[in-house]
Amino acid sequence: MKRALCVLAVVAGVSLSQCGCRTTLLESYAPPKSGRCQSTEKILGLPPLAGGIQISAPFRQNLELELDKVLAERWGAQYVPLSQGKQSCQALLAKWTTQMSCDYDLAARLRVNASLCQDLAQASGCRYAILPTVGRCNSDAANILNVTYVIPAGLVIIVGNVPIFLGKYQANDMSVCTMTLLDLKEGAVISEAAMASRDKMSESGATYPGALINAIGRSAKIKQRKI
Amino acid sequence: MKTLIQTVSLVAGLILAAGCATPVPMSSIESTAKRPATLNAGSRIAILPIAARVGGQRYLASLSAAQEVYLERVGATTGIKAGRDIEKKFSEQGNLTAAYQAILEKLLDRDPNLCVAQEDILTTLDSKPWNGQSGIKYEKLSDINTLVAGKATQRGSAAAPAANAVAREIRLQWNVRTKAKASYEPLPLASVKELSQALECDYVLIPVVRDSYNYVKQWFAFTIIPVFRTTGVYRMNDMAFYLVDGASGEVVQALQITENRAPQAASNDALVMVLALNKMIQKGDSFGSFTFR
Repeated sequence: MKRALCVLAVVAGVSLSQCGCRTTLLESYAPPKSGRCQSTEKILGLPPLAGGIQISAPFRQNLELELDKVLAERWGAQYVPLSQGKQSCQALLAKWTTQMSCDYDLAARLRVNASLCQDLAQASGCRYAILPTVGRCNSDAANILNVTYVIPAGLVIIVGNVPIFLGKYQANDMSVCTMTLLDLKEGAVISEAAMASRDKMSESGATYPGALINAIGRSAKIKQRKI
Repeated sequence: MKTLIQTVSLVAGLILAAGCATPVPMSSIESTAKRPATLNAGSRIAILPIAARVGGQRYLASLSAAQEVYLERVGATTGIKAGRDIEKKFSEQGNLTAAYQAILEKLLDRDPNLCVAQEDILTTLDSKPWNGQSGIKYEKLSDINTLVAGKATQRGSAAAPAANAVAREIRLQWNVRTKAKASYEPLPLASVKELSQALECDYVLIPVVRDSYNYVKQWFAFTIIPVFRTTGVYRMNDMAFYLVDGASGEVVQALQITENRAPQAASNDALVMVLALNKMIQKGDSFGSFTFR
């Protein structure tokens, strides 16, 4: 009996459900003060890219306005608004939107379009750029069997949990937004934040950049909060 | 005294068990019906840039580095083109981006051909270590994440070094389901031909990372502590690979790998990428011989 108690495994229940409106910050954002981005250099706002979804003209317009407002609040004179960039390098930004609209490795795309990045840097006088994206991803649900074990070992009680993946099934598509800080001179991604939401993207777009920008500087790797 | 010894030995046993080889549980589904038997004989294969929807972009740096590590290991003389060579071509010829995008429209999202069905044939990897003639060269595999982390750092990537999360001693637990039925519509032929001609290859290999975020709510119920529930967001490693005939535009082989460990799934990305490339391309024995039974 004593020996049996020594290794006592208790199997926990299995369940999974999905409900409610939830926006999830999936990765933290490195602000310019982190040292990887020089605070003396200017940051250009780039037009949002869409991946896997169509975004309407009013939505794009709202998004751009909101981005300019929030990013200017964040970075002050360091940020060069998209509205200003459109005036000074309209042709280059149009070219950017055309050449960068495809879906594959963003870092590879930057290397492929290194000359365009450098032209943008030269024309705008900005070394860095902030690139917002809106798109979608697949939201899968998983069945996990959690086996919890309790091992009384003298004065010490060891408690642990072993999650066993049983399988997954298709759930609804999720909206996902990202913000990427680019080094135009080097043609490289400096940092990126992503936010996935189980809600459909709001056409007003008002909450998107605000929620993501508010997350700047937070260190949580995976953090959930309801909005 | 006896109890003390028992306790010490139990704890020591647990520590030893934790320090031993860490298994990498993986499952994959593949369709090989149209793979020609002659593919290995001098075929030229171009590995295209990894594709992902916007949400998965930030994971790609280490996977791209994994491709480079794979190429270094299999050697440059095997007729495989990838990485910077391919990017240079894309940079020189702007039309290739549009051609690739046209193909990706058909492949980027969930693939109904690679869902589990009852008639699929299930095989399991024979995971015995290399004995000089057959088996897996684990010592070659265990360094991959370290190499990949080094490459990601060289590139100035913001990706977290994979080596931090990976045990150096690994073992593989790999279950493969081979599709009995799978039918792929031919991809846009003009785009495939344009790419294969520009890249001077017979086949193009398209790696796709599907942005699969899992919302998992788990009920915990055990006898001592009352019922409670936790919620997590996990990324499952859904990496799909499509080998496409450059002349006909047909998908001759498709493979999708899932790493079966929800919370820790991201830790072996680079390793899984290299194993998948090894399985698809089947050139050389840099990592040993992989037998599925």
